[in-house]
Parts: sequence; C-alpha cells; structure tokens
Amino acid sequence: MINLAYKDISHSINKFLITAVSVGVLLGIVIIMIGVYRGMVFDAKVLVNDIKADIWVVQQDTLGPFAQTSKVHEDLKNQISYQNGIKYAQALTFQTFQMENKYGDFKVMLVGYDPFGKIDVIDPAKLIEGRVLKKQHYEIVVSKKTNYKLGEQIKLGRDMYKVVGITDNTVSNGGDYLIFTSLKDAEVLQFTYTNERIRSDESRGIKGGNPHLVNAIIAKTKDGYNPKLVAKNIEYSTHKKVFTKDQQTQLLLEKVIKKSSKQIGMFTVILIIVSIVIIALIIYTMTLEKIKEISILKLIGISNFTISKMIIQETVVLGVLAFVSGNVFARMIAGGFPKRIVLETSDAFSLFGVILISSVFASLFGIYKVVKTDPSEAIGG
Amino acid sequence: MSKNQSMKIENLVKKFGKGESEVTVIDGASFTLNKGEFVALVAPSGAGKTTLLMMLGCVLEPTSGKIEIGEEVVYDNKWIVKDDRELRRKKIGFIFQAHYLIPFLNIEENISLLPYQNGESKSVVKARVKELLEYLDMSDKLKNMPSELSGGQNQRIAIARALANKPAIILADEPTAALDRHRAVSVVNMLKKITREQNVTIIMVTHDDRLLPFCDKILTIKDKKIQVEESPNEHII
Repeated sequence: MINLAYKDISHSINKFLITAVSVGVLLGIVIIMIGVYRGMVFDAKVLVNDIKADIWVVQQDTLGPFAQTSKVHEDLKNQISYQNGIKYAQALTFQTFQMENKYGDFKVMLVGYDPFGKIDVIDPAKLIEGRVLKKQHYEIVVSKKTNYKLGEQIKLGRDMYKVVGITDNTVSNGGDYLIFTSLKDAEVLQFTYTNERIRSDESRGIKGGNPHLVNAIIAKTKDGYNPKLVAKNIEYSTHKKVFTKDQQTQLLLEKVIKKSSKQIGMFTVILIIVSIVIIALIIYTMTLEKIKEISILKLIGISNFTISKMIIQETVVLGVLAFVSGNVFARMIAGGFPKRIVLETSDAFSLFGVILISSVFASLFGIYKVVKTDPSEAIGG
Repeated sequence: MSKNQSMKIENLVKKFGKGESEVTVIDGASFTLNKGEFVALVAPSGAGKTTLLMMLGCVLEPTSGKIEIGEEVVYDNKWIVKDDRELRRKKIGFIFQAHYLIPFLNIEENISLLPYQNGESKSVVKARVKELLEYLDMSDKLKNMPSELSGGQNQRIAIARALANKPAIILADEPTAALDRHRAVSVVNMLKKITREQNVTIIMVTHDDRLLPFCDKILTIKDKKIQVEESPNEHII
C-alpha cells in the first residue's frame, strides 16, 4: 500500500520543513521557558547548598535571611557555639550592590563571612581560580560572570579590594552574581556612611559606628545529632528563629520564588496551548489545501480511514520535526540568556509527549474536514 | 436480467428541498446499458446531468427508484449496499474534466492506489499498471509526476486510473471539455476503443454535439425525463 503521508511530505518537503522549523522555534521558546523555571529553582538553592551549614539562626519571628530581613548580633555565634549538639557556628551577612566595570553594570550579592571560620561558605568545587579569603581585610572573591580578573583591584565603598579568587556558578536566589568579603569588611561596607550622612546623624544625636549586626548565624551540628532537634532546642533557649538547611531551602522555594515560578509556569502553559492551536491550524490549513485531492480520493473510493491516517501521520511527523528543531533552537540560544537556563532531558521528553498527544488531537480538525468533505465536489469542475 | 447488462436504472427520481420549495430534477428515469457500450449524456446546463451522474456513481442518494450495477441491486428506494465507497472502488471508474491526478503521487502510484486499496497484491498491481500503461502507450511515464506530463498525457493517465480496478462502468464528466477538437476526438476514440476492448460501459457527459456520432447510445435529459436513443452514426475507430 502507498503511504500517502510520506508521498505528500516528500512532494513538498521544503515547505513542510519550513513549517516544522517554524513550529519548532515556538516549541524552543516553550523549552526555554521551562528552562527559566528550572534555572530559577536551581539558583534559589545554590547559596544554601554551597554553604555547608546544617542550621540557620535568624531574627525571632522572621523567615530570614532570604525570605525576610533578619538582623542578629554577631556575638550570638558564641552563644550558639555552646549549644548542645553544635560543632561550629559563625556569622554571615548578605547585602546587594550595584557594581560597574568596563563590561557593564550588574547587581551582585555580597556575602560577608569569617575567613577563619570552620564552615565552608564558598564551595571548593566552584572555586575555579585563586583561593578563598585568607585575610580579614581588602580581599574579595568574585563570580566569573562579573568578568573581574585575578589580582584586579576593585573599589567598594571607601576601600580597594584585591580579587584573590574566582568562582563559577555561584549566584544568589535572585540569580545575582555572588561576591565574598570578610565579615569585618562586609560590616564596614554596610555601616560606614558618607561624611555628609555622619554629620547629619550627629546633628540628630545619633551616634554612628558599627553595631556588629549580621543577618544570620550558621552552624554545623556534631555527628549523630539530628539538626531538627538541635534547631528546636536553640529556638527554645535563644528566642531566635532557627531553620535547618532543608527548611531554609523550602522557604526559598515557597516564599521567595513561588510567585515568579507560578508566573513562568502559567506563561509556559499558555505557550504550550498557543503551540497546539498553531499546530491544529497548520494541519487544518494543510488539509484545506488538499481538499480537492481529498474529494477525488473519496469519490474514487478511498476510505476515510486511509485519508485520515495520512493526516495523522503528517501531524505526527510535523510534531516530531518541530520538537527536534525546537530542542536544537533552545540549546543554541540558552547560553545567551543573562540568568541560568536549565534544560533537562526529562522536561524535553515530557513536552514531546504533550505535543505529540496534543498534535494528534489537533489533527482531529483536519480529520473532521476529511469526513465532512463531499466527494461530489470533484464532479462538475 | 441480461448477462450482458452493465447498468439498469428503473424509475429513478431525485427531488431537492421539501414542501413548497421542493424541486424535482430527475423524474422517473429508466434505461438499461450493456457491457461495452459508449454512452453520451447530453442536456443543457442546469438540466440535471451532474445530479444524474452522481446518482449513477452512488455518490448522491436518489429520492426513489432502483439502480443495478452489473448483476447487483445497489439501490432500491434505499441503499442496498452498505459501503458506497467500496462499491465505487470496485465497480465504478471516474474521469473528470481536468485529470485530477493526485499531484504528490507519481503515475504508477496514481494508477495503483485503487487496486492496493482493494487489497490486490503488489505483483498483481504492478502487472496491471504495466498492462494499462502499455495499452495507453504511456509505458515510459511510469515514474513521472503528473506535473511533468502534458494535459493530454495526464488525461490518459486519468483514464488508466479509472480502468485500474476493472470497473463495470466508467463515468466521464466532460473529459474533452478542456481539449481542442482534434484532441477531443482522439480522447473519444480512445474511450470508445476501451469500451470495446475492456468490455466496460462508459457514460460520457458532453456538450459537444460533434462527439455524439462516436457513441452507441445517447441519454438526453429533457423536462426532467431521460430519453434514450441510438446514435445516428457509427464512427470507425
């Protein structure tokens, strides 16, 4: 038996390919949107995963330090260190900066930590050049994407900082590049104001100076201790809010990126619906273009099944080609986006399944037209 | 019922609309056609040629009457056959004003489409296509696409397609309308030759009175009735 779909596609292969690639570009955008969502979830977890802490102690009645502002005294770390089940504790600060270099301006999140603390704040696996901080002052570790070079001097606040290390794939939960300074430097950057501001404060009777406030205290638990129980115990005895690492991650996903991810999710669903509608319209139009041939085929006795099979097969081939070209397109452009795009094979195959099933449903419009076509249209010119 | 009979129509009626808007297009058509006859269907525009052709081709359901194709009653005030498309596929061939070949199939595929649909084996279909193309002197065009052939060549391929399923009847809807006099005569001669050699009945709709002498019978629609007359002349093929 002759495969009508194969013959029809072969006969107008260029037109078919252009149509498939055009639909593919649309699917590529859907794949990118899914990738943006995945990237957002990935980024949200990067910092919490990189910092090798089991417990996060933050200001009472807050969801800090990422979902809500949190300020605790730096010396709280000493109190935490002596809690039952705690191995080490240290203080952290987080603040955002707008920076500028010859490659452009960008937003960064500055993480201040104790270079002599015993908890890794910079994931060693992500340090691609140089070293971590080893001095209390004027050293900085930057993300590769800031384009700063090792040894370069950067002006932050009133002081110059030397780049001693470069990391890769380090971002804040908002996707901003991370830079790291010592806790002391971070506090200076946070609480040292301009001369005008200091004079203004003094005239109001406000005394300046470093209040030694940090955003969170992180801690490692001793082996054999359940972080959940240790956290509960600290929360009870210190009147602070305490989260385990898993709880902090959950907070980031639920409180920080929930709305953004929902928005992207809805946009993705709309794009998928639009893609399906466009595929349906293409199949319908392709069917209309062949309506004379279809009425002749029906008149000479070719069954609806044979003609409908041709429509479905063409739809499936269109879906497969569009999917392949969409993936190629998405992978080609993914690297050009400013924020992380995570393209997962499982997402691609899920989309493939959705598009394939939807395409077959979409072809029902074409099949309906086939069934409704009057074979007598072929008679009488 | 004569063994030589290819089609018998009894008191065929076709009405459109209902009540006050009811219009009778064909009113009590009765005639018998024999195998190997070349029949012309003649009528002014709007007299019901296409309606009659569609009823004979089992595309349009009559209002009442009886249609026999070969020895099989296909309509007797209602469809007797369950699958009208299978009936057409196996017993009726169609030739149109334009060739209407499927543009994305080559000549071989256009001709073999129906036999394959009828469940014929590949070897039988290939032999049939070869035989038809040799018969119509088009053997060298087997793998050509319709767009690569002239209008006349395509019309011959359309004739081959109509013959592919060895039908009892071929309905030809003005097959010479788009051709000049010389080519029209050539096509009509070929159709007549086919009726004789393939023992198939061809009903040809035509507006061209000059082609009537080539036919064995002439069906004329006049005042909704069908008049059957023998052709005045027998042209030598």
